[in-house]
Amino acid sequence: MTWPARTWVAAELISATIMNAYVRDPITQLRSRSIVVGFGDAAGDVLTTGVKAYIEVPFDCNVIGWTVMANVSGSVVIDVWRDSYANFPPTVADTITGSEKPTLASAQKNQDLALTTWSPAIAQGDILGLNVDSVATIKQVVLNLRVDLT
Amino acid sequence: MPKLDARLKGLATRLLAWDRARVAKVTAQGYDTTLYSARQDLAQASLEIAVEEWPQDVTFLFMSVLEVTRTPNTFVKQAGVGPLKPRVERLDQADISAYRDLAEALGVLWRLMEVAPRRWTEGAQE
Repeated sequence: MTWPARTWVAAELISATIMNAYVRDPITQLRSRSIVVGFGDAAGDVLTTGVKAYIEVPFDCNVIGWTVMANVSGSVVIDVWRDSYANFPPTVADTITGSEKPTLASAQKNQDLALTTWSPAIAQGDILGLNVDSVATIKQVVLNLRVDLT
Repeated sequence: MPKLDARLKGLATRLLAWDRARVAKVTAQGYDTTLYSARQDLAQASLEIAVEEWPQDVTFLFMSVLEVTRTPNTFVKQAGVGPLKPRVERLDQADISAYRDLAEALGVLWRLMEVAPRRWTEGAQE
């Protein structure tokens, strides 16, 4: 996709294709965001289970996919919990991941960009809690949530 | 992509002539169309070079003209400008085929199909 600078000039045709190219496509691109959280230390100990991070999300969005990357090949299952700031901290009862938890299974990277069982909506100001359900070998992991602004 | 072949260059030339006629009316109304006319001149010059070297403004100029002239009789009524070809109010099958081939050569067929799929699919009718 291109994102050209554009100056409209007198007498120019405004067509549906032009609007899609110069208005819709850039807006679509602007809607894409990533929420990136990393935890652990590649020079430290193997990760343990439990809550590793809380983050506040400053915009309304829908989660559309995830990517997990680790320092070495190994296994990890991460759960994502969501609740309002007023109800902090989120708990396992607030899980939004359905049957598609970010997971590594004897791998260093994994990705799911076609989520179907998540409860994807996140409201501005919601808190996400990232919980390691299980882990083996991995000392450092990064979870990237791909989201679209809503 | 190479330069347009004679058939597609002919269609592009006709499209540009149509667009110049349209802009002439706008100019006659008092608008300063200097910049757009320069873009049309650039489009004319681009017909002599490989499509992949065309400025994006030129490609999109043709994309827009392809889109709005695909149903010329309707557009004539709405815009009050002359038809694409003298005394022709509907495109014939050769025109339709050339339209699609030109859009494909310019790499904009998918954008046209996105906004008017029935007009731009293979074997489309007027």
